[in-house]
Amino acid sequence: MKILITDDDFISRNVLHAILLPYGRCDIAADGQAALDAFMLAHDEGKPYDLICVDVQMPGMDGHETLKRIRALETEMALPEDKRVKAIMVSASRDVKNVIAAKESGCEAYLVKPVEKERLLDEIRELKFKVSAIS
Amino acid sequence: MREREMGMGRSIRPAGLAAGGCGTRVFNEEDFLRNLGGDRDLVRTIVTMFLDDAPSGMECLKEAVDRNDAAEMRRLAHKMKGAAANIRAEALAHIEDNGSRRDMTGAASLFEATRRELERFRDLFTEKTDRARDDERGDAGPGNISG
Repeated sequence: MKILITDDDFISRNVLHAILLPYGRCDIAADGQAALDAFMLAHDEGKPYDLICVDVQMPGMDGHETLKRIRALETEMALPEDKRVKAIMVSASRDVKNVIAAKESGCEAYLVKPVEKERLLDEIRELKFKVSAIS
Repeated sequence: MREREMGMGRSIRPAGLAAGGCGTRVFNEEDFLRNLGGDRDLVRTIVTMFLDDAPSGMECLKEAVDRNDAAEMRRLAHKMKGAAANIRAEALAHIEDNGSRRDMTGAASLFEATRRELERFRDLFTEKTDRARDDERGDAGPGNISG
């Protein structure tokens, strides 16, 4: 599994990285634009991401906008549904408006910080990924 | 160098339990440790990174308060809340719940509460780290040293 973690806060990035590293290759983006760049680069290399974990509230391009642009790029590339990156939004906010906006921007799941390892892995399993530690 | 409340008396409460009670802890180390697969070194590393970064975050928060920049203040407080929640600095993560608002009302008290909780978290973490180090030394104490 190839994963892109996007969060402007480096502590949150590192916690997610520590949780997910045993289960796949993890790249990190510190903002929305870096996430878009990484997303495109991965496609150019023919090794797109399977999963993106993106923080909602980031300066500049927030998580909603980042994911909307990723979905627009996938549409431009005419990617079928099963080839699109799965997205999990992460936020410190339980605000229902945020959850609705996340769904509208095209995410498959929404997690409230603190990110619980088992909850995150359950969500990833729900997305039909095989979750097993890399030896 | 970090600030310290020199000479100020502190209330006494069970170690790790936040002022607000309701089961919110200053640092839920067990939970964080479990979330990171029991890797105690990783817990220490990430918390140390958080504490190293905190003074500049507080400085930015203070500047936003001084500028009456409510939007920036909320953004920074939200960011700190997210990071604090992830490392299980529960009391610190809980502060914004009482201080999130669209204007600057209460900004100074929000800043002060954040500063105070951050210091309590730092003190508790330092105490735990020192104690763990002492324990490790104890394990490798004179009785275990040969020669």
